[in-house]
Amino acid sequence: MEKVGYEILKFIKERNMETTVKDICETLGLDHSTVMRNVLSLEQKGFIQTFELKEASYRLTDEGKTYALEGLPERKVVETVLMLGGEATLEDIVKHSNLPEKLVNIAFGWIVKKGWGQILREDETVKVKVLSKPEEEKDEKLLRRILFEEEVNTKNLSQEELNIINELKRRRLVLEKVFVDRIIRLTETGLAQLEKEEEIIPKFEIEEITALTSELIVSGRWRQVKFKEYDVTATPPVVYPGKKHFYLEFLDELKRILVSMGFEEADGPYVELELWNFDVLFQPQDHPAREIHDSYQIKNPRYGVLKDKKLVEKVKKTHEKGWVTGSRGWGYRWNTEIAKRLVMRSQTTAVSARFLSEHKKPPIKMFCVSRVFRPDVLDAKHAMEFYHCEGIVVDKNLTFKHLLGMLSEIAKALGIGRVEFKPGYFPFTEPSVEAFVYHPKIGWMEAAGAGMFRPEVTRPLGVKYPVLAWGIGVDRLAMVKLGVDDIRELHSKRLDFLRER
Amino acid sequence: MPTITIQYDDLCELLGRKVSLQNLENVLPLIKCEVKSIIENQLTVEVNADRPDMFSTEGVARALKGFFGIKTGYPTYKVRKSRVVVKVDKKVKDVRPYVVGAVIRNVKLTEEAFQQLIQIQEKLHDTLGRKRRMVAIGVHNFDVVKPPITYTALEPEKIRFIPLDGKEPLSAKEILEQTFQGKKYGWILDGFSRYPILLDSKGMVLSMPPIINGEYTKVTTSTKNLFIDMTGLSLHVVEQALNVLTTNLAERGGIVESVKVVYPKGYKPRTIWTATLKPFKAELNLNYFNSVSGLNVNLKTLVKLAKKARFDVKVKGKDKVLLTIPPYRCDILHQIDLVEDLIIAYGYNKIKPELPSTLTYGKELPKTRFMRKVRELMVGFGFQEVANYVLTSMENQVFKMGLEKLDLVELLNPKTSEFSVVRRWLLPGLLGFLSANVHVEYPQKIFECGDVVVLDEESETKTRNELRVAAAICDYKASYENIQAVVYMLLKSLKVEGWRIEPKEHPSFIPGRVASILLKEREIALLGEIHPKVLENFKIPNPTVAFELDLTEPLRVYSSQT
Repeated sequence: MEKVGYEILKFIKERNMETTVKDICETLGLDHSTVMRNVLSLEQKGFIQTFELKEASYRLTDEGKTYALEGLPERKVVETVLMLGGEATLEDIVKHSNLPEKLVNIAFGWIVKKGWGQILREDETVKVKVLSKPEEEKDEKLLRRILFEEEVNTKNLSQEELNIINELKRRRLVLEKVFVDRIIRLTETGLAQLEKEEEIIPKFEIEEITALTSELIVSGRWRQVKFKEYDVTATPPVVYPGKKHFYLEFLDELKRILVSMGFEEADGPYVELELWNFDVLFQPQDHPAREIHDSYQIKNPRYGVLKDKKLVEKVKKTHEKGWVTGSRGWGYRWNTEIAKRLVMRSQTTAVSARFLSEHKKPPIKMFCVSRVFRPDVLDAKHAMEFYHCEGIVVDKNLTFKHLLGMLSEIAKALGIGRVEFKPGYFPFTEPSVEAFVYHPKIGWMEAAGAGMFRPEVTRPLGVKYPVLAWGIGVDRLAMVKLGVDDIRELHSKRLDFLRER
Repeated sequence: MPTITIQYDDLCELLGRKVSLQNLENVLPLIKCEVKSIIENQLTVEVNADRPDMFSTEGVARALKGFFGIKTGYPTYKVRKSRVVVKVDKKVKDVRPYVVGAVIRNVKLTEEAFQQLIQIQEKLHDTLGRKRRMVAIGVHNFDVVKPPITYTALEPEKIRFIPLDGKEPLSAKEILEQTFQGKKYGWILDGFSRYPILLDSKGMVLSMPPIINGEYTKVTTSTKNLFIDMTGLSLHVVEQALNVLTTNLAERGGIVESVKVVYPKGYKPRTIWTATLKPFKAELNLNYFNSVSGLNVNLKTLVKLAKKARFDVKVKGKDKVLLTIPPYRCDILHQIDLVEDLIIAYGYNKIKPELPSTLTYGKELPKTRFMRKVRELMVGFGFQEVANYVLTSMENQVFKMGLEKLDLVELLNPKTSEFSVVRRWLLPGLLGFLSANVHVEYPQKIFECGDVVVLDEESETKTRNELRVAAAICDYKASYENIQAVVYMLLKSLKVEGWRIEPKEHPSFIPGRVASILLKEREIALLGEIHPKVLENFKIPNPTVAFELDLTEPLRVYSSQT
């Protein structure tokens, strides 16, 4: 037996041995043709009996509605006759009832049929004689009921009412709509068969499904299938999410913290003029940091162009004899060619210098988180490129105390707590300071270098106010914060490591 | 920064008082000496590079005396004139033009004093001396020297003497080739036809600067009197170095005698006395000090601080002092340097930090925000972000990618060939990454968003940073449309409009499976299936599809809209 057939038998049984095709379609979610095909086959096997079931519903026509409200023509005629004294001619009735003659003629027939009065024919004239006002008839009651209910179904009508409906239908006062359905009744054989099937089918014949398909859902056939059970505790295949790089996430977080403290971001090129990387920062041209061991020079292209001639002149004079900065200067001949040389940026202070050359008006708070490069062999503790985080604050009346305050505040924002300050040395700042922070595992470690830009730096740039500057070696900070021991892991080439970070 | 060693007992003796190690460990960092280690009684200390006067125990002791208040104010050095004359020959002018000298009498070179003398020479050579190019120091046993001394330059073949610690005379050539110092510093004399040399009146060689001294004037712990020479390229710098060394020897009781140097025609001035140890003077304004430091001290305190920093102070009016600065302080260029010295004297640990009231609003660069957007989209497409170095190799950027050449930035002084060029595109880095992960689970979907450097004639740096994003999918099966779909949706999500795609030929990709994306008739992206030859070069065992997109124009549009 087909599964659908079985399902139908089961359903009929659930419905107290009898139901209709429509009920099966709607409840089991099957289409009509599928059900009919099965019903036919089940009937042939003697499992069910079917009976056609005709049902109809009725509504009033426009005419019917008018009569339901105003009364049937025969009643109007009777009322007119009574008004005219109990006897009236056709002409009089037509004249007083506002009904067309044809309709009055028809009404005569109904008056006779309903026994409401007599028709008298004298020569050429037709007269109506009515003795009293008749009671409301059943057809009138039904009309009003249909008007009230809008639609009535055969199911809700008695045989007598059905007869009246047929009359009203003939008078074109109601419209009939017919439905055909089929009553299906389970036979004794069918019930026995079903009980037999119920024992075997669940075990052998209900289709077992692994994957639920769109077809199953849309056709409703999922009701007839059984879903294969999974071992929901088995180990699944590994799936890796797309992820941002953990170190770049850390840098992003750092940027967000600095923005929240009111710093504006800046950046500059990786390949930089020595002018910006060193000369503007008052590092003498023979300074060890500028030697081949401490900064990457460029083979190709070797030199850049010095565009701001005025600045170059001021820097030159400052290096040589101090210019108007109040400094003694370094006392050597400054060489333009060296300033033109290109290097890999070795400090983000170059970015600060460029920024100051374009922004001189306080208040200024700038930061930069970017890469710097220094010749080194890559190992667990050293890298040839790393990240610097640098910031400057420019305002009237800023002092060294403010610098220390700023550093403490940044440490607080980064969540590194206790800070201690020691004198430091950077060629471009004076006074200079090194900030040490306490780490529970490592102990005191240098976290930041800072200072106030020297007049030899600010004056040539045209900056007239104190500049607080600080720099953080971000790689080291990240290693501590992220628990990384080997600096190379910050740029790890291990995919499994990145997936798990 | 220079690292020196200090013997605890020696330091206490110079201080004239016993100071606990614990106390020293706390205080030294406050005067620019970071304590690296204390092992038994030996301190290893890193001194800030701007204070060559503290590259020996004597200098550190001198500064500590001021800080502890054991001895404050200007350390006066009595200097006598010696009869020693150094005559300079004009032949030195091209090779090593300046010489200065000093005589130190009555030195007591204990073992430790001797070690310190060697140590400070070394550190001065490395720092002020710029590895002996700017300053070369010779210290000699004065008792064997027969003045006057001549500083001249001779043809190498005319030079022959027993170098320091040598057994027999060597020629200049042999000295450069055979001795440790010759090999290390010989480059300074490269290209000169004559080598500088210091001779006494008997023709004995004191030294061949900047390479080596003669054995003849060798100093030992029993040496009583010293002659010091310093030669170099700048009179100012050699004088500074001489001042540092002589004052430090004077701290141990040595008596300094100045030396007359007579220069030939063409120098100005022609006769100078060196090692006179004259201080220099500078004014410091109270308001200036307070406005920089924020400490708001009064004039009395200012005077006290200056004395602690070992300056002499003369009050000039209500708000000004005239400072006498010792000759060893070669780092003072500007009033601001004095301010720092006085803040150090005040004590960095005693300053109360104050938060600036500067009010600004913060913002990120549009580039940062745009990058974040791109990265988030790529993560949304299921890619793992990687972070490669900007420095890489020609091999990786060019040859392994199947290219013959590429215009990129090359370093002049790389440490290793692995990191010798600046990346010109991101894709080679991604393939390098994949090749390091062939045993890790597939599929591997990775991306990187960051700057590359391209050559740019228009730019003042002849180069410019260019923001890019690149991604690769590597799996047992990977098809062109896998990556094409990502590119299309990425462009759409970034609201890049008006682009078109066309077939392309590129050696890194399989012919017929590579395309370029053009925006305003400029190629902004390359996408396709990596050529098996390239995969072989990188030892990647699986098919790989990839793209690289130049974000310059999308970023420009993004920036103009936000």
